[in-house]
Amino acid sequence: MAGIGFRLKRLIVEDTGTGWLRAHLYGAVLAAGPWLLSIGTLGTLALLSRDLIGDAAHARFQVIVVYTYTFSLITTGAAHMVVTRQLADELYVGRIGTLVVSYRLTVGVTALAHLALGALFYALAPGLEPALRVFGVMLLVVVSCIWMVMIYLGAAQDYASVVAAFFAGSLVSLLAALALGRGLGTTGYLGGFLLGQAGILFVLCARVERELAAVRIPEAVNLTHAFVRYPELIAAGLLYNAAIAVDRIAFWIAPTGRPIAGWFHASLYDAPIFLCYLSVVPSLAIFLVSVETDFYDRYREYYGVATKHGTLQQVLEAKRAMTACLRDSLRRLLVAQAPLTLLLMALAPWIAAGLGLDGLQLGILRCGLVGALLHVLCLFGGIVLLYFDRRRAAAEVAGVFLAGNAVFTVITLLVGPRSYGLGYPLAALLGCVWAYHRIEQTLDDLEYLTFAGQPMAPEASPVESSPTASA
Amino acid sequence: MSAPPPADVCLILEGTYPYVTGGVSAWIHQLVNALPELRFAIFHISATSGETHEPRYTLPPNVVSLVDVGIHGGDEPSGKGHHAMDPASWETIWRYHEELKDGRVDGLGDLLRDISPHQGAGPSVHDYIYGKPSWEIVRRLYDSRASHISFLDYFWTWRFTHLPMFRLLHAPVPEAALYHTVSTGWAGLVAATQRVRRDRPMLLTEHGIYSRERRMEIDQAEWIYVQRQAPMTLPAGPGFFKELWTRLFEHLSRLTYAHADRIVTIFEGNRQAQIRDGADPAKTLVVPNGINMEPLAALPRLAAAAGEFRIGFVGRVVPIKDVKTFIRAVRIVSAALPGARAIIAGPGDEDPRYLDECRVLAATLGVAERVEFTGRVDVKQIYPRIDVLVLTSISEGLPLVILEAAAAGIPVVSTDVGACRELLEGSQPADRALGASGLVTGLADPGATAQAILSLARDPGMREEMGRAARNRVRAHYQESDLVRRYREIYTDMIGPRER
Repeated sequence: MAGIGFRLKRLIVEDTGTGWLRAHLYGAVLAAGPWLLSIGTLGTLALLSRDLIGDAAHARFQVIVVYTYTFSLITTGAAHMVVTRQLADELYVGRIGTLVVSYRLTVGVTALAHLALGALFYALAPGLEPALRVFGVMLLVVVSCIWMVMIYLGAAQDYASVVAAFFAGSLVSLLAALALGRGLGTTGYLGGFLLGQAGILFVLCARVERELAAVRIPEAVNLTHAFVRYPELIAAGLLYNAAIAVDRIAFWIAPTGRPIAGWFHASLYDAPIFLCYLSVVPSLAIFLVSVETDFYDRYREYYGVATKHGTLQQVLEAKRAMTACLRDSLRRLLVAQAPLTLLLMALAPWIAAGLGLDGLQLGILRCGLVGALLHVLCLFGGIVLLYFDRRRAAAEVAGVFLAGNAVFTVITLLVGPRSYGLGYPLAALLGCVWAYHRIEQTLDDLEYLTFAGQPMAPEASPVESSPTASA
Repeated sequence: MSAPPPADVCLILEGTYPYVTGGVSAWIHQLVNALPELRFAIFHISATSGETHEPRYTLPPNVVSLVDVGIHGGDEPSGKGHHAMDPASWETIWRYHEELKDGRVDGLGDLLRDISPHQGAGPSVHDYIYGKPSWEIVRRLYDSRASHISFLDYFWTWRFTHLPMFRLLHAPVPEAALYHTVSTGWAGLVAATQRVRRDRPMLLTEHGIYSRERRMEIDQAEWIYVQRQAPMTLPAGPGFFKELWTRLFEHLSRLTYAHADRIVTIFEGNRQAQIRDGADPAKTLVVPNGINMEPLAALPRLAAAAGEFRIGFVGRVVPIKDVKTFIRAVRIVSAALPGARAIIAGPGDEDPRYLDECRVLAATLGVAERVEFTGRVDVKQIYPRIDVLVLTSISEGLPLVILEAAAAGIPVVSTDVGACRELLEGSQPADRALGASGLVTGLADPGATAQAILSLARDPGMREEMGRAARNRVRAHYQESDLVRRYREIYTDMIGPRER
């Protein structure tokens, strides 16, 4: 009967490594990083390879890689946030021993599932050489495993080696693809690219294994409990990753899609949109830093005052300070990103010319730049909601973004080329509006949610009912 | 499963019969067994929810139903009530709390009519604990009364104090012609709720004064947050939250007194305490506990050896009985009376450390040879071989041992606690006229206890006289048959005669 909420206690745990709900922020940034880096690698490859191999061979390689990234993000999306959260829960209660089991289980299941999925797909997909099919399956397994391993690297907090691994691996991918692609065409290209990505996975796994070597006694863990417990996180992860792909998929399926190799399509929409994603890299960095430094301090202050016998007046003061800080973070983000986006929009004709994009793609590029800006705002809105454990609201935001992106993109496809590219910014705007509406509600009600949202008794769960949890 | 027949009397009990043994449980068992013509339903309140308890008594056949409800612990399944809390009723709730502040409890009727007119109606327990309307009211109360205090503790104190109320508001209380609660507190709240909702008569029997017992517990409690002025300083007073808990139980007692049609207690001192706590004197009456005196009266007296004087202590060896004062008194007596011997008859397993301390004390005082610890024993073995019974308790209600000793014709030396003085000197004039059946002393005063024992030891005539007065007093006022007759009268008076 001590009278502190069981969930509340976790929010103020003195910082000894990973914060608790903070894990979602790192999860998002860590997922965005490799995605952007691989776009960079692909782009560089595209620029460098134009003279080396024929356009057709390169295009065949590129669609396979793009499809692999796009669909592996969706297939792993359902598990990504749940595993992230489950890991944060376990780390909070200090059950390090469960990491060994949950890590190997996660990676093992991911690998096997994607092996089966990839094998089925490439067995049925027409018009591919046998070697290409084998490499395609392997790339799918490697990439999807990378997404899941990243979760555990977030827990290890060794970002320097992650970044180093990605840059080194991408460089290997680039060089090997160029070297092998020269003689072997598409197969060589894909084989070389796969080599670098496999290298990344190997280094990441080795890094996690080194961390796990310190664990003496592995503990059993039931991952399915986490899935039962956090259905909103399954939805949030799946819907968000589907949302960022659905516009491109629509362009592939529609008459705008050019068949490249059997089932694989490409469209005029791909290149400008990938460029737009790259434009928000500064925002990711700014948001990570400002949330981590200013906001997180205020956040801890708020929960500290709430749980350490503060008066309601003090709690509300701390909330005001935190709210102000959150608005300030967003303002700073806009102040940094908006001029960059505007500048890029102004420079768009030259960029398009430099990269060989046509007039229609220039329009998509301009729309996409605005879309990407709104997209990061929407993403951050979702992350902020997760900071306050508003899992359902976060799932709603992803759902709104997905629905908007699907519906608006299809409408633009029906309306005609002049409207191409408008779907994405409109959908992101809708997602933003929903996210900030939910954040406002959350902040308005925060003290109610903070106190009255606490359960009367610990939930019966493998995490909280464990003996260490009651200590 | 067919519904049990409607009961004549629904007993509302808290932490006692039939799950816990003790004085009150024995009393209930005695009463229910002695009134076979009445059908009893039992509504029992346990501290912790989600536990199943095994009855420690064989229930008599006239107990037609038994319901056990836990009030603390566990969580409430999410579920919406029949209707959300109506904003108009917020004002009623607010007004009720304002009245409580002034010590008024007559708003219960309005409150129940607005939020929960019958069992299951109104918001669910989950709505109350987690809902926004409750939150708004708690905040408003906090702002107006406690804004300087830790909100976290205020909020959780509200939850812990109100969860039992919300649960009891929805608890399945059996249908009965009369609701008889055997304490104030949570049981009293249930009875008052039935009084208001069903408009049936309500009877209260209070053995110990509930609000006082709770206050002693709360003063000792370590789980209640006490705000300190600065680190390493001692708090001033019991602290806001301890006072809040104490006030809660005072409110519950006052609420019970206000709604009960009759208020019974076991001795005059308690009746006065109830009146001081707000009970209407016109509703109060005293029905003392009673014993079946014949088996004890028939016990033989075993003569003492020449020069020997046997001092008895009957009861659990626990601090509240202050056995150490008894041992010190024995030491003083033995200095003047070399033949003095003492028997401490009662279990010591409840507080083994205290038992050890008592043994060490006896050894230190050099009376270890004279003091015999019997452990758990049949008291019928003890009364025949003692010349005086001594009580040194620092708190008592109406101690059964005094009645037993009296039935056996043994004079008593007792501290002036609970009903002891009434039992030894009589309460009304007619009772007083029977003469004293023992001597009353101050608390924790070994010298006074020893003097009283010595004066009895030196005056066999006085012992004889007191023994006779004791038997007469028990026969006149403290017989089990009297107790049963009084309750039969009270029940009949409240619900009419019942024939089976």
